[in-house]
Amino acid sequence: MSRNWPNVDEIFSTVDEFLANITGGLDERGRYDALCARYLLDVGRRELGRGAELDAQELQALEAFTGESGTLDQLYETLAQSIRTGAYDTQWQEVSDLIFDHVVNNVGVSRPDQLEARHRRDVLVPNNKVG
Amino acid sequence: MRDLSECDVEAERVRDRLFAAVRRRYGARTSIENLQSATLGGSNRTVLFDLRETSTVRRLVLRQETYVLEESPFLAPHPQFRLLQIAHRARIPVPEPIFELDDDDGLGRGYVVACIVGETLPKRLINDPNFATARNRFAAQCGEILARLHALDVAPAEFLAQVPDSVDPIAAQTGRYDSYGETHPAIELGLRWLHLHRAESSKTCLLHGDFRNGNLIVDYSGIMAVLDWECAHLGDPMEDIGWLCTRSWRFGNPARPVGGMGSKDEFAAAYHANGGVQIDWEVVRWWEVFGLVRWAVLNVMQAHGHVSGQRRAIPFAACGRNTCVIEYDLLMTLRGEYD
Repeated sequence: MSRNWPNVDEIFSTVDEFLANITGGLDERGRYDALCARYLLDVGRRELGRGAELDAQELQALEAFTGESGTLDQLYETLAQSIRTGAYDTQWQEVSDLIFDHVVNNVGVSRPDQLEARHRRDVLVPNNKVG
Repeated sequence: MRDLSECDVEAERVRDRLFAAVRRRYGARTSIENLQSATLGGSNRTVLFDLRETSTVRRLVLRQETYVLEESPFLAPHPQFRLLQIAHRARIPVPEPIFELDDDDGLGRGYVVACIVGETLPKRLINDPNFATARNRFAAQCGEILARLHALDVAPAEFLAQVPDSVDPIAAQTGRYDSYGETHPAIELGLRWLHLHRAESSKTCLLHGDFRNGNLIVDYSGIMAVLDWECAHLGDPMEDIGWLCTRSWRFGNPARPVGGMGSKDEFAAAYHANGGVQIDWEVVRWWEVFGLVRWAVLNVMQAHGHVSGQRRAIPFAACGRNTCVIEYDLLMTLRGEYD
């Protein structure tokens, strides 16, 4: 499928251009909706670009930290339950670091401009800012 | 704003029923004109209109409840209206409450208040040179208003005692977060930190619950009115102060902790000068962390509303992907890298 034109990047760009072009003619609410839509497109583009790689890194880190195996969702669910019961109270720094990396990855996909410079990685798609 | 004449059948229905509601209360010679629908809103639809009586015209605002799910964190319109009456009687700057909707109106639950002209958009308030005077007064005015609110007798607001946030703020957030069924380890870590470092409450007051830049109508001279009372509850006065100073409400101006416009010293001076209790800034910091957890949970709620189909809207979808930014602020705060 990726050999067909427009490829997925081109599809995102095309829809983004369309939204940018119609925004000027919209009322205030419509303009805000269009801005949010463009922001979500950027999130989608970045997630398609880096999401699988970041998920694989996080899965590896979670398995190493918890000593368990499973899907990313299962391991995060288990981790969250363990935090709630206090199982990681004595490993606060370690669990905090693990979750911080996860959050930095998420912000890198959703709003890379919101990261401090030392936490930024390659930003493939600059985002349309909302708010 | 947009002209209701451009809207859909629902807008026509609202217009017709609002016209009837006004006539029932003010007589057959009254009319309504210049209807406008305001943008967005977490839990209410807002419609502005002119009420024309024989020789007078008043600009009013209809607030209709739109989010009625069981896990909604928002007060129903009836207690909101009662709170507006309490605050208005105490001369706290709020839109004057005019009337409450009833079953005969056919408009659901809601109320009508006076319209107050001014700006609420935070970034405009922070950046527009026209608001320089208002910015300079902002922290002190917030201190004065909150001191007066926190000094009110709690008895007339006892109907808030069973609101989950009045009973146990951490449990209230945990319950809502659980109800959305989405795992966020960072929120879980924040909730655990709050639990382990729980602050002692010094006093129980009537709290606005959402007192921040964005919920205040401001003109060039300063704050004109406090809006959005749907999160009011009873609790520690430091909670309102912590929420006001929560990093998210500084809107990119973190060096100005009071709404991105003022300092904590300016706030404290006015708060104490108007009878406010001694501020414990360590406790306020706990409430700032609480505020970040709460704001993250509210964004999860917005995404849940969208994904579940209960109230689909593109901005709510965007809120879901904004949650991680709040989590980043939360973890940076817990790591001591953000104040």
